[in-house]
Amino acid sequence: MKKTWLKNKFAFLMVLPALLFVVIFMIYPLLDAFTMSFFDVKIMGEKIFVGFNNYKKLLNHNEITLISLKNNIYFSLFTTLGTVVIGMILAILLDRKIHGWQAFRILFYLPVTLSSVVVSLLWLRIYSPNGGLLNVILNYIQLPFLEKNWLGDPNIAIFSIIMVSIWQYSGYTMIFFLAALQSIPDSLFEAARIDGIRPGQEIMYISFPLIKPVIIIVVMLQLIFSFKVFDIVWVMSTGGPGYSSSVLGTYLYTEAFRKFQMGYAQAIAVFMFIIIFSMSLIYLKLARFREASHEY
Amino acid sequence: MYKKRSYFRLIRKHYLKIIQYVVLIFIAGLFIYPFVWIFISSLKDKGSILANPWGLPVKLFFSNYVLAWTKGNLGRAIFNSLFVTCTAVAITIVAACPAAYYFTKVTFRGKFLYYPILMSMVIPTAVLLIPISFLGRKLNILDSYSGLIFPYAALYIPLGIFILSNFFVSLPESLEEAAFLDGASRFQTLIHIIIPISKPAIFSAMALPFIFIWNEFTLALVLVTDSSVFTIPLALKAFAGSYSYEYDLVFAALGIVNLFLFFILIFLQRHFVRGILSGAFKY
Repeated sequence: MKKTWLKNKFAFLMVLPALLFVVIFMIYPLLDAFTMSFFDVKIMGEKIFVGFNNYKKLLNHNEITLISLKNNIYFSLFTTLGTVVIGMILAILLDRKIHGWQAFRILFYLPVTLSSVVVSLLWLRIYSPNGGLLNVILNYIQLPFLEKNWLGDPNIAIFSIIMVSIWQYSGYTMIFFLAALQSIPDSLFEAARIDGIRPGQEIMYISFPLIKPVIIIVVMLQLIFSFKVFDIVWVMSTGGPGYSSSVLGTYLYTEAFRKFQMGYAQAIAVFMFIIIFSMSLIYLKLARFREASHEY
Repeated sequence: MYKKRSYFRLIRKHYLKIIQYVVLIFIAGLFIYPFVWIFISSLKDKGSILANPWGLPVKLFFSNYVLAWTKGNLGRAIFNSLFVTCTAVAITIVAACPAAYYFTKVTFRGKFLYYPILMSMVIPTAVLLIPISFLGRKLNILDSYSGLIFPYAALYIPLGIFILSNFFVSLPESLEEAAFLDGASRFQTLIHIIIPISKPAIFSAMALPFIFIWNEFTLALVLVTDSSVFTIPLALKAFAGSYSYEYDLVFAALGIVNLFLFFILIFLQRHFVRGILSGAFKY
C-alpha cells in the first residue's frame, strides 16, 4: 500500500514540472482571459464588472468585428486552398524518383523556417509601390495594367497578405503530402502499370485515394493554423488601410495595446478562442477517425 | 515490335521527366529568388535599389552590413535569441521527457492530466497576450530573459510531450523488462535505456520548438519593451520601423539574419522535417 503510494508520488513528481509550466503560463492566463472579458480593465489592472457588455459591443452590429471575421475567414480559406494545392503539386513533382529531391525539399520549406517578421519585411519591399519588385516585373513583362498598390488598396490588401502566407507555407503542406506519397508501396504502381494505367491516372486513382486521410488532416490543420493569424498581418499592414485588412488578432491587439481596452480586447480573444477550439475539436474527431480507418 | 514499343515508352517517360524538372526548377526559382534578391539588394546603395530593383549591383556596398549590424544592435539581438531559445528548448525537453515517459508507460493516478496538457496546444497565442502580460508584471519578469524563456517553454512543453509520447508508445515493453530484471528502477531505465535510444525523437522534439521560438514575435512583442532584451524578430521590426526608408540597411539586416538562420538550418533541417511530421498539431 505504502509502496504504491510512493510510486504514485514519484510519478507525479516527474510530470509536475511540465504540469506547472502549462498551468501557470497557459491554463491560468486562459481562465484569466475568460474572467477579464466580463470586466472593464484599466491599464494598471483595476477592474469594473460590466457583465456581458463587452460581448454585446463585440457582436451587436459592430462593423469592425464583421470585417475582421470576414478577413479571418478569407485568410483561412484561401491560405488553406493555396497551400494545399501548391503543396500537393510540389509533392507530386518531387515524389517520383527525382535526383536531388531532398535539395528541392529544403528549398521549398525554407520560407517555413523564416520568422514572420523577416517574411513581412521582405514582401513589404516586393509589394512596395515605390520601386517594389512586383510592380517592376509586371511592368517589364508588359502587364503594367496589373500594377497595383498591393497593400495600400483597401480592396486587395488582405489578399496580398494571403499571397505571402501561401508563399511561406506551401512548403509546409508539401512535407506532409510528400511523406504520404512516399509511403505508398511501389508494388501498387507496378501492378497498375501492368494493367496499363497512364501516369496521370496513377495520381487520380492510386495516390489520391490512398492519401485522402492525410489531405483531410492537413486541410483541417491549415484552417485552424491560419485562423490564428496575427503577426504577418500586423507587420505588413497593422490591419490597415483603416480596418480593411484587420483580422481578429490585429483587432484584439489594437484594442488592447493601442486603445488600452483590455476587457473588450479579452472578449475578442475569447470569441477567437471559441472558434479555434471548436475547429480543433472537429480536427481531433477526424484525426481519431483517421487512426481508426488506418488499421488495415 | 515489343522492343519498339518499349523504346517509345522510354522517350515518353523521359519527356515527362524533363517537364517535371523544368517545372520544379522554375518553382524552386520562385521560392529562392526573394532570398537572392535580399542578398543582391543588400549590397547596393539606396539609389540603385530604387532605380534598378532587380539588376546586379554596379558597386558593392559591404558597408551596409556594418551599418545594419551596429545601428540595428543585431549582435545583441542574435545573442538574446540564441540564449532565450536554447534555454527555453532545454527546459522544454527536460520537463517533457520524463512527463511523456511517465504518462505513456506508467500507471499512476495523475494520468488523467495527459489529455488536458496536450489540449493546451490549441490555445492561440493571441488569446494569451493580455493575461500573460499581466502575469508577467505580477511575477516581475517583464523585460527580462526569464520573462520570455518561461512562457516559451510552457508553450512548447505540450508539443514536446506529444512528439515524445508518440515515440515512447512505439517502444516494445521487453526493452524495459530486461532492465527491470537487472534491478533498475523506472527512472534509471528512462535515463539509461529509453533516452539513449530515443535520440531521433528527442532531436525532433527539440528542433521544432527551436525554430518556432527563434521566430516567435507575438508574445515577445508584449513581454519585452526594453531593447537590450530584444530577440531577432523584435530587433528587426524596430530597426525597420526607425529606418523604414533606408532600404539598403533593412536588406542588409535581413541578409544577416537569414545567413544566421541558414547556418542553424544546416544542422537542424533533417530533425526539423521529422519534427514537423511527428508534431503536426502545433505550429
